[in-house]
Amino acid sequence: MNSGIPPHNMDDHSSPLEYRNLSDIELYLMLNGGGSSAHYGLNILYERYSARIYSYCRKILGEIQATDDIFQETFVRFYEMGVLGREVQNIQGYLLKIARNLCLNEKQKKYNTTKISLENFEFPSLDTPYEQTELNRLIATALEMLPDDYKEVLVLREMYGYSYNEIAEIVETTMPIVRTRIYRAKQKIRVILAPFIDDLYRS
Amino acid sequence: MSLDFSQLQPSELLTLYVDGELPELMHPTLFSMLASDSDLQQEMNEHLTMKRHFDTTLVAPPKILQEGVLRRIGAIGLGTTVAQPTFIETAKTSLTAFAGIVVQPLLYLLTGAALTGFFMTLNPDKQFVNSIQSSQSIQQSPIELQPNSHKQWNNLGRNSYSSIVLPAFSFSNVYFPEIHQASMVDASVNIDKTLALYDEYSPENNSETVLEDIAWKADNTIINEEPTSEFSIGLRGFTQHSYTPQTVNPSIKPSVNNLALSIEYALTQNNSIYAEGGQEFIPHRFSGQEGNYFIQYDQTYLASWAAIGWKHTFTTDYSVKPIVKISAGATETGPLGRVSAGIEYDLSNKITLMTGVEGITSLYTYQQQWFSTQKIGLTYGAKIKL
Repeated sequence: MNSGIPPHNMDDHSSPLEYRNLSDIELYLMLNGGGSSAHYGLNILYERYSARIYSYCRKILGEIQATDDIFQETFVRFYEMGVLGREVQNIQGYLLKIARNLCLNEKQKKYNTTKISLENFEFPSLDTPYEQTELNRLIATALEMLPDDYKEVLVLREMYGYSYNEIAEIVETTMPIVRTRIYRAKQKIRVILAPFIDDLYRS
Repeated sequence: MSLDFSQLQPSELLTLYVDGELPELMHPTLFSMLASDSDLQQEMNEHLTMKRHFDTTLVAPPKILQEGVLRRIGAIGLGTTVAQPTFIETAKTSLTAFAGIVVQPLLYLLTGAALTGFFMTLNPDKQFVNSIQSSQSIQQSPIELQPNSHKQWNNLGRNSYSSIVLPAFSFSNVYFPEIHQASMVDASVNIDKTLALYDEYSPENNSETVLEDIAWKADNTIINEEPTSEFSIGLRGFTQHSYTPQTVNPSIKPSVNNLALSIEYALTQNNSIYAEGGQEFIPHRFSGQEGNYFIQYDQTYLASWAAIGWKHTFTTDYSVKPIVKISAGATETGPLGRVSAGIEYDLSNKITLMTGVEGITSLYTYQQQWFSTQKIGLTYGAKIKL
């Protein structure tokens, strides 16, 4: 694989600090073939994206234990793909795509045993004064109640600021579908939060 | 497929606007809707509130998860923790990785040597030599008698000479044992009650220079940027000096000699394995006891050989790259090892020239004793990526 990137291997005894100045793609290319330079490459990419991937998994899965497992699996699979030399243009997007697929698989496994519905969800009392953090929590709770395909596009949009086209690429669908899902997701959250937001504005 | 925004509901346009996906061309349309629609204004407020309170806080994963990932890919061992790698650690990791690169090719080499060289020397005396009577090409060197002072040469102790006094005898009583000769060689036989001084023979020509013209010329090559496969074929020649003197001329002088043809497979960017075969003269000298006599044989052996090896190419930013090669194989008479170091120059995407220094060791046996010949010299050639 020749991308025009100057070769980086550990034979020249470069300081690992030098690797930190490399671009995502350069670091990803270091994974090709494995070895110590691949380890360093992954380590730096991990430091760059671990928080975002972990937060995404937390948002999608909710459970910490499952999140931890899926999060680790994401980076291991990412590394394996890099060792095999799979071509990637958008590192964060690729990581998110792996994480997304793993999260969906995990959700699918749990779907048969756990299901949260609007009917059995307990909302906070209307008499409670809403602080800013509570509103955050409410939105997060409403997000949890969304179907997975709505939730993931909304997270990618609001949390990572991806454009609709980029989201379509990550979730492997079309831009109009993404637009529709985001619109419906926001409408559902509006419906869920309507009483509280009304109260918020009244207060 | 472009989206027809005029077909969308005001609420959808609003969502697109809040997400920055509504073209500026449509902004006036949306703003006029907002100005006249209080419900839309309320929805706008809700969207902005939602966006403002959407939790975008990034949660850092626990440190133990990083250790878990690195452990699973083999970057750190069990029971260790991740720390910022120091220079020494970096160098250590590099050496470990390099050792991994070396070990695998060496296994190939050992397997090759086991399958070829040692197989061919299981019964060395019978496989190596034929009866002198069967050949007409024998050239017997003058026999030198040195009854009082002599040296014994033994290839097993190449740098050591010892004086040995054997029972005297007269030339007429020389026991002429069944002298052996390897196929396709001339041999000189020196028989004395002691051995003749091997270094008193005048080596006629210890260096060999052949391959006047390796038919690789840049003008005839095809230069293009087409992708190449991992396979390449190479042809090279060599000019070598033998440290075992060539005291007899070979009976066969092939027009093409000291050449090697190889096929190479690139495992990675820096490492390749290759199979190579060639032909060259290898002077042999071995001695032993035949009856009551010490006998020294000299022969110039036209060796056809084959070997498999490993090549490491050092990464540089230039077209010239240092290389090291090591291979193991066999001739008809025994195992053969070759080591070389040099440079390769990428003439084009497909053509690579090389030159370097090469040393070889050829092993052979006589009377269950091992002897060897070492040669060193220049090598040069070219390869074409397929």
